[in-house]
Amino acid sequence: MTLLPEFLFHILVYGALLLTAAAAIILVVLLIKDARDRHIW
Amino acid sequence: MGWALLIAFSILWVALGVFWGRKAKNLDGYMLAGRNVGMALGTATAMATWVTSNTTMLAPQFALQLGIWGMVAYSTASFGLMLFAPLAKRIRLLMPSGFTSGDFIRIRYGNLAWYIFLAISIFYSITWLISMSMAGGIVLNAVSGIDYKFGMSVILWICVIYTLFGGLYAVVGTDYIQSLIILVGVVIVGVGVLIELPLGTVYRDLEVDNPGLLNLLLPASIMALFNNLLFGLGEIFHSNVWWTRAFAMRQRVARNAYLLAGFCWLPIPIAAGFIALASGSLGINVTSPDMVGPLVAAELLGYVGAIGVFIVIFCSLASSIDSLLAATSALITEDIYRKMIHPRATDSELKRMAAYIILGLGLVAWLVSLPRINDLASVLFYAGPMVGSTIWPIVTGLYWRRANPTAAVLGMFLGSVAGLIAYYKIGFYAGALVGAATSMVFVLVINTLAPRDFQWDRLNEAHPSDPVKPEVS
Repeated sequence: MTLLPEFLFHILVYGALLLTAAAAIILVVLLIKDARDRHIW
Repeated sequence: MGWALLIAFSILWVALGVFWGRKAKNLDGYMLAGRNVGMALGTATAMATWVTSNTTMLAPQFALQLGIWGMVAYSTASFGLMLFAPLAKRIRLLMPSGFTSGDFIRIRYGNLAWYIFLAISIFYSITWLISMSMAGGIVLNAVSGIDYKFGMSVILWICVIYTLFGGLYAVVGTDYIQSLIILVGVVIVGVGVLIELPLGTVYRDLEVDNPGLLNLLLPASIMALFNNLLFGLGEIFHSNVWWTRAFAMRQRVARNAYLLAGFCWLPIPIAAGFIALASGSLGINVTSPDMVGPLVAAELLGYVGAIGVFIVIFCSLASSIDSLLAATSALITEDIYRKMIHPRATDSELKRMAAYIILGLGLVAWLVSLPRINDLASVLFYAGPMVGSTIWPIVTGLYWRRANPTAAVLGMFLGSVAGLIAYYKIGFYAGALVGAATSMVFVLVINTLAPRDFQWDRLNEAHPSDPVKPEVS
C-alpha cells in the first residue's frame, strides 16, 4: 500500500482552505472592480 | 436558533428577490438578467450553483469511504465548469439571441434530436430539483431538528417565491451573497476543526487505524474519479442551467467567469471533506455516512459548528434550487410552450408563462418530496448515463461544422440505453462512463463517414423579444 506522505496531506488540506479563502477574496475584489466600471449587471 | 436562522434567511432572500425583480421588465430581463451580467456575479453564480448540498454532505462521505482520493475525485467536478468555459464563449458568439440549450439542439440537429434532448434534460432537471428539495428537508432536520416536511417546504417555497418575483436577476444576485457565505463558512468550520484537532494527529490516527484512506492506489477511488468527472461534464454541458448563464453573461465575460468559477470550486470538496477524516480520531460512531461532516463539526465546535454547517448547507441548497427553477422554467417556456404550443406568444405572455411554470415546478417538487421516499433521491443517478451521452453531440455540434444530426440522435439514444444497462449490470460508477463512451463512438464514426454541411449563421435565430430581427443567411 502506497500511503500519501504526511507533508502532502498537510499541503492538500491547508492548500484547499487557503484557496477557498482566496476565492472569497477574489469575488469581493471582482465586485468592487465591476462596481467601479459600472459593469455589475 | 435553527428556526431564527431559517426565518432570517428566508426574509432576506425574498426581499432581495423582490428588489432585484424590479429590473426584470421584459423576457430577456426575467429569463436572462438582461444578458449583461458582469464578471463578479457571473463567476459567483456559476460557482454557487455547482455547490449543492451534495458538495457539502457527499464530499465528507467520499472522504470517509474512499479516503483522500474520494475528496480529490469530488473536486474533479470543477473540470466541468472549466471545460465549459470555451463552450460558453462560443455559445455566446454563435447564438447572440439564444435562450436555451434546446434552441441549439433544435436548430443544429432537427426535431428528433431535440425531442430526445428535451426528455433527457427535463428528466434530469426535475429529478435534481426533487433530490435538492428532499435533501433540504433531511439535512435541516438532522442539523437543527426542524421537522422534515416543514424544513423542505420552507426552503423550496422561499426559492420559488424569490425566483418568481425576480427571475434570473434574483437568482444571480442571491447566488453572489450565497457563494460568499458558503466560502467563508467552509473556511471557518475547517479552521475551527484544525484548531481543536491538529492535522498531524488526524494523519497519525489514520495511518494506524485506517491506512486505506491514505492509500494513493485505491482502485474504487480512481474509478469514482473518472465517473464523477464524466457525470459532471455531462451535467454542465447539456443543462440549461449553464446555458442560460452563458446567454446571461456579457460576451467578453462568459469564458473567464466559467474558468474562474471552476478554480474557485476546485478546493471546496477538500476543504469541506477533510473533516470527515477526523471522525476516527474523535471516536464518532457514524451511522449515516452522509451526515459525517455535520457530526464532526458539531462534536468539535459544538453549537457554533452546528450553526456554521446549517448556514453553509442552507445557502448551498438555495443557490442550486433557484437556478434549477429559473433554467427549467426557461427551457419549458421556450422549447415547449413557445415552439410547440403558442408560436405567436408575445414577450409579456412568455414572461407570464415562465412565472406559472416556476410555480408549477415548485408544486411538483413539493408534492413528490412530501412523503420522504428516500429511494427517490437516488433517481438522480439514473440521469448520469443519459447526460453523459449528450457530451459529444453538444461539443461536436458547437465546433464541427459537418456534424451529422443522425449521429447526435443515435449518440444520445444508444448512449443512454447502453449507460443505463451498465448502471444496472456493472454499477453506478460505470453508468456515465459507458453512456459517454458509446455516444462518442457513434458520434465520431458517423460524423466522419457521413458528414453533413451546416451554416453557423442559422444558429443566430430571431426571437419575439428581439428589438431587431437578426439577418439570417
